[in-house]
Amino acid sequence: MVHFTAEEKAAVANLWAKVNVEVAGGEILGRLLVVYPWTQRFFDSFGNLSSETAIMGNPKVKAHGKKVLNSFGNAVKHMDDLKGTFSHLSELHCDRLHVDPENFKLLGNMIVIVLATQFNREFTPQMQAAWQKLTTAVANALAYKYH
Amino acid sequence: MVHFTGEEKAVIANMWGKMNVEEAGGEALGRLLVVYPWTQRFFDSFGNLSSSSAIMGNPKVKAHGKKVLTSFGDAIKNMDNLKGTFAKLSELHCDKLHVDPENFRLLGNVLVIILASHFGKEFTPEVQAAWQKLVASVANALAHKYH
Repeated sequence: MVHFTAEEKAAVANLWAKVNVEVAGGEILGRLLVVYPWTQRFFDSFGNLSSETAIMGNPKVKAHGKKVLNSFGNAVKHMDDLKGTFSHLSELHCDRLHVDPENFKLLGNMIVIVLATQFNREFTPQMQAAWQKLTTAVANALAYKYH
Repeated sequence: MVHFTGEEKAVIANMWGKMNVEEAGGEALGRLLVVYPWTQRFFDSFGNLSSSSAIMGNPKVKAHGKKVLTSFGDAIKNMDNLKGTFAKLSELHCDKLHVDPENFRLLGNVLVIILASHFGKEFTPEVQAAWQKLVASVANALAHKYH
């Protein structure tokens, strides 16, 4: 089980409280689809993903990004039990959605980058370290029930 | 050979022109050492790396970071021949420095995050995609002469 220090938890919670989940969620998922275009294969039903502008403005991308990031909010509330928290989602992504777990790491990377663009200097090395630890741990938790 | 479009080259050169290479270099190397602490093993002679503030303030880290990022500037001038540009450095990192090439990807990742934190909204998805392509290509070029 990953252990987060009190400082790491505080750093994560402090930044999370300032995040606009709706806006950030859409941005994060959008950037995933732009920067790693093969991920678009999971979102055939989303309509127009033909350019950066189309992706970033796509209402289904924004809505789904918000859903994904809201779920990530659960991670922030349960940093001591990520595997338990994401157990059902892990099964879903394996059994129903057939998503390669490598994509969870890519999304985690997007979360860190979007936080960096939003918080600039406030996204200190310590903040970055805590958030990279969290996104890695969430990616592992989401992969945990794969078989 | 990786091919960069005219737009990708322009976007990268444009952002590079606005960077303070000395400052960004120190920040990039510092963050690498903070976020991925095992990388400190390559810098035993650097003195105090005992905390995030010690690392970020360490003059040897700043100086070496500047050197590394200045060398990265060569990539930007030679985007059509990265393997040739980094051939000697690749041999050096393999034969003399014994650096696992995975670390080049980690440094590339840190550089992208720094650009995101410095440039905020200006670090659009399109700009991000171009830079991620470049850092991945530089990492590959640096690994190319490994044996």
